[in-house]
Amino acid sequence: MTATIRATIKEAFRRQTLVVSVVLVTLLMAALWYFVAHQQKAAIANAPMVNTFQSVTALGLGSFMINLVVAFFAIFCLSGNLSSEIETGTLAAVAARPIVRSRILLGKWIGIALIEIGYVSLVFAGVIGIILTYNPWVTPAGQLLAAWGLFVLEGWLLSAVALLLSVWLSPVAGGVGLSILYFTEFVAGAFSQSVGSQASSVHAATSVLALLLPTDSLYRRATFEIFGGRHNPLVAVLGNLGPFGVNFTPSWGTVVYALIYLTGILALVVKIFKRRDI
Amino acid sequence: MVPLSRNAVETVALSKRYHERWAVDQVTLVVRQGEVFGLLGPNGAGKSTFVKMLLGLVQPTGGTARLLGSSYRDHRVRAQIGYLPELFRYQPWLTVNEVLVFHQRLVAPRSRQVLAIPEVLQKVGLTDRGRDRVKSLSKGLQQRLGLAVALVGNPSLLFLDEPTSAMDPLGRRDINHLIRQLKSEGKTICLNNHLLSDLEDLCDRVAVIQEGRVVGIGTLNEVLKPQSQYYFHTGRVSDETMGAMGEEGLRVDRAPGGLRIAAHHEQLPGVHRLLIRLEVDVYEVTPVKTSLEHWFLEQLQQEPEAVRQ
Repeated sequence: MTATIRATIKEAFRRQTLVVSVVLVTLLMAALWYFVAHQQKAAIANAPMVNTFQSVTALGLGSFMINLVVAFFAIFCLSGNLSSEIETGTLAAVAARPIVRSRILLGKWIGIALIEIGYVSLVFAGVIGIILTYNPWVTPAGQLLAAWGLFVLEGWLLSAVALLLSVWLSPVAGGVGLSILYFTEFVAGAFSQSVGSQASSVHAATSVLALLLPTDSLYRRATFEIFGGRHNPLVAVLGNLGPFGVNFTPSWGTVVYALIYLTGILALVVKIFKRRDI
Repeated sequence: MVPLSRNAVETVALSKRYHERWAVDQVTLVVRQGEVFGLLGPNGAGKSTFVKMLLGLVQPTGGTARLLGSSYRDHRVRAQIGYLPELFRYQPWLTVNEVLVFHQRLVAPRSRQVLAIPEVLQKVGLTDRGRDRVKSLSKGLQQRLGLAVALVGNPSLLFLDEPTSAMDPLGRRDINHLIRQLKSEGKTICLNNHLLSDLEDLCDRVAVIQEGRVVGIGTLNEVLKPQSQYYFHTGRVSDETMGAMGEEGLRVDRAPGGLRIAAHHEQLPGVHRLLIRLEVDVYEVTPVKTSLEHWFLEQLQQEPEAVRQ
């Protein structure tokens, strides 16, 4: 399996997927740094409430930015990977070797999962570092670590689903399909967070959608953790961030579900691919 | 080392159905250890699907197979098998050396003795191209790389699907030479090829597949058996002389530069005397052999059993 893992990592470097992603994210972080620093300078020195609200907004947007770039990277790295390799015959030469198919699949996924650890670390450290530098509060390291882990899990989960779809769909169809599903989750999550606790039917509908792809729950929980959780006395302000806000914090049970979901998706793709004609 | 008595490939009623169509229909055949076995057939006859089933790439609908004495379902047996797919493209972002190292790692743990990469490159004529990226190689060179990949791990059984389809005549000559060399090393080679002249030159046995069924199989000697026909290289023969030969009971046709006459070996002196009597100048007499192409076309005219129960 190490041969497949190495090949996947080498592919990400050689095809410049990683390089382009890192360069563009660095530019994005530079822009974020500029805006956050500018915003702070412009803040009214003797209006601490305005200053605090701006910090919370920056944090909400920063968390959404991490969520977005991690998701895009995860979705497009493996979208259509299998179908295109079957089409070009690359996979036939590999699968004809003395290796069980599950190892080929898991090798690809683990290769991308390892890259995602590095990629999420870079994006997370950059964005959160910039925002927290100007924040009036300090988030404990344990909670930052939890938020980092949740974003890593989100990337792993999307990569697994992308791999599953790539058994049947072309790169474009797989990428577009999963992106739409991901945005549907986000919009549903945004609605769920925006409506009051009275709208139980909306919560029920979004909960069902969250079972389909629990990425939004991970993102909201990660935002909550970056903020410092319930230890932060300003936690109520987090609910005022509109579509990026967290009014109803997803429980750790949701995270456990995401882990089970990830395992299930990987088991399913292994099972399907085992019998797929190449 | 594989014992000599063992068959390299044995299939029993191996079949594959796609929807309502049988791509491979109850194919039962044996490829003996150390032989070059040619698989012929028109496009879409099921040759590639047959090979892919043996390699675990396509799931059979029915039947079974053994490779080198083991079940084809046992992935470990593929450590002794090399495969060149018909349509393939190796990872374009890798170099030639990296593709080979990748496949070497898939074939065997580092501790196991395998054919050194420079040796493989030398065999296929890519000695100086090890550091080139795959995407920079021409089609013919990519096909050589495909052969090199098939040779990684020093396999005892090779499946080569159209190994010279993208090559120029020089490339074809090199690869045919390589196949002869591999045979002399005791390797078993299964060749799918449309170039019948190549197969005629390389194979010990051939089989024809049509609509997924084996419609003809035999050794090259059986297939190219001499017919009871002789080609007479002659001078000009008039229509009257042709008529006279017919009246003598000779079955004769005009052929480029001479005549094709149906006769058994013991009848030849009599035929010769008749031609001299009719004042036909004879320069050379050669027996007419069936070409592989002739045999191939003959097999295709036989209808496969139309209805499958």
